[in-house]
Amino acid sequence: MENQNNDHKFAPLPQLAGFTFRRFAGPEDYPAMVEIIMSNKDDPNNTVTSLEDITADYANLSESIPVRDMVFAFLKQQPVAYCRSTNMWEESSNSWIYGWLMHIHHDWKRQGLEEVLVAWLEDQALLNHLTLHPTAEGMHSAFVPEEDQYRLDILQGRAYSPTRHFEDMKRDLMEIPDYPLPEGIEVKPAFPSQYRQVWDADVEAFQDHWGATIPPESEFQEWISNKNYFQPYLWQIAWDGNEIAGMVLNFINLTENQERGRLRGYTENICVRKAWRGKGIAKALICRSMKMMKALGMEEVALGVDSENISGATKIYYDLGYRSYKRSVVLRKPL
Amino acid sequence: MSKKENKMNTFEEYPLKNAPKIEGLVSRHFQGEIDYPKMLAIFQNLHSAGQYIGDTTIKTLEAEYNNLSNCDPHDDLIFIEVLGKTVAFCRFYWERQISNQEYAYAVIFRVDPAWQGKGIEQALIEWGESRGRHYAGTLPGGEAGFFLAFSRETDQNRLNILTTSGYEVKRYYHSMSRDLVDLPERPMPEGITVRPVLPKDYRKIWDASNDAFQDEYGASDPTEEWYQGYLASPNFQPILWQVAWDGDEVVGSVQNYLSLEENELEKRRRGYTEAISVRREWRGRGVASALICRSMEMFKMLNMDEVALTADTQNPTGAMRLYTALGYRRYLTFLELQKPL
Repeated sequence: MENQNNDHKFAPLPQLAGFTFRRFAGPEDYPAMVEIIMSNKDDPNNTVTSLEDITADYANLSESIPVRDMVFAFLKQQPVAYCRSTNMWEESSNSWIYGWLMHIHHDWKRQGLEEVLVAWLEDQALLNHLTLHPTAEGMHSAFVPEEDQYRLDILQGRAYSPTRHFEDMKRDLMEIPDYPLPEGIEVKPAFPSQYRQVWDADVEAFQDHWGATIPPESEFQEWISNKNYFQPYLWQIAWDGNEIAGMVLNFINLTENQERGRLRGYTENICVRKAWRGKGIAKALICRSMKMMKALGMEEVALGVDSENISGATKIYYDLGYRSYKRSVVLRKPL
Repeated sequence: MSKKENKMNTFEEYPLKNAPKIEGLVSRHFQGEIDYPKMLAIFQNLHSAGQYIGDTTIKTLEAEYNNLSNCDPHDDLIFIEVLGKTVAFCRFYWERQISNQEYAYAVIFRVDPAWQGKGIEQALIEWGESRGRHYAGTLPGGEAGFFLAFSRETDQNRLNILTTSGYEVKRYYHSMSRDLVDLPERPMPEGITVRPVLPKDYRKIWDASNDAFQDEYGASDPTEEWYQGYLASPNFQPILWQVAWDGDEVVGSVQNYLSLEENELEKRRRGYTEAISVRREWRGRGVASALICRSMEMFKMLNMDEVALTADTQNPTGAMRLYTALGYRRYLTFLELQKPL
């Protein structure tokens, strides 16, 4: 993560009366990041984390350079907010996408920090783009829950437009349907030498999705080192001989379950590769995943989906009993 | 280890008495994490020679050697190199048994198959015993103790070396497995519930299983290093545990895990139903059987073909009978050997 290249250009720090701002100082900032995130742990729109999680995430960050792309806000000596600009190449729009994440301490929301941080994120993103990809297209992009009117207003006030909608869906594990796998398809675990194959199949299957990116090699490392998501012993993978036909990359986030007081398993990265579509493989794998989650003592399963997904995924999940409990919107504006 | 840390990563000779006369042989201290790949290479060669199961990885070595308990990483580890290649190592540690307050002085050595039977084993055993005598003279009540070593029953050469050095077989452990077909069903007794483990429960489950294991042969007081090593181990997979509760009290647990690395190496799909324990006041009611049956069911859902465990054949709570009744069968015998101080 140490910054190898000293050619970074830095946007001026935000300014807001009463607050001071500085950039990322290194791993000693991780505890403050955990504290800020966890001050919002009762807000279901927020994520939960631990020092271990943050340390693992930042050890393999691929979409940002923290010393360049992060800013922290302080009230006296107290850290109260931080944000980070991210960048990824998006094939479908043929442009660089500058996204961000922003965490504001529970007690300091809606007091002007959001506004100055968004402005700084845009400035830094623009500077990164002009420095690194001056001739390419670029877009600012923000992912916001629909019920977060405050952030939506800020973004719409800055000329972002809603571009795409996503649903978070869940279902309980009371009655689980049964769908058989087609003849010749076998469910087996993936062994370590096959993790790369799983990654490639996942990337390939999502290429025809909106917002698909070409992940850099470092993202593979990031993926296999995140204990909260990378739990290969929970995967349900359908094999046709040595070829992956489809998969559900299940995981359970224990920290989140503890903080949220629930027993949820995630049935995520659901995909079936083109040659094997239309045979009921996704349904069969999802039902096996539900049964597995039930055997692990979970009470519900959840997933996130692009509501306009062209392969009709939303309908499959609906048929299997998943219901939407939250909608989010991606807002974008050209650089 | 802090004051000795500056010596890590650098070669420091560690004289070994009666080392065999092999050209280029030197003995040295532990060098920290740069030794893990060298140790792993020895385990891999032992595996190829049929003397070891493939469950050691860099991560398991890190978890174990970064959290050594009753073992000084500088003085209680020794490595043998021949012409610059690490071919053997030995770890000494001690444990005080709860039952009779005696000390077990353990000598754990691994020698690359190509370098076995040339006198390295004997020199390492002698070194381990000298470490044991050192502690016997410094620990409170240290003279009441014995040397401890392990061997597979089929490992005839190792066994001969140990017996010739004065060790006697004291205890038999069976590694047992069972295919995941025709799974038995055993209900949980009334009032006992099973629920998934959350991070806030880790310490409680650790304490409860130590409490239950107190009655096991050779049990010693757990140390904080053990706990840290346990949390750091890749086999610490609490998502897979089956834990029985009576209200807020942990009644018993099966701390299941699986290693996809080992399964790939061994070309099988095995889950481990290990660290099976039920606390004293809840014994005899079928809690362990019910937890094991649930674990088998779970491993089947994880697409495993078999389950396995290792058990003390003379276990006082009749564990062997239980495992046999549930369909587990022996595939390997481990021996515990002892020698008087």
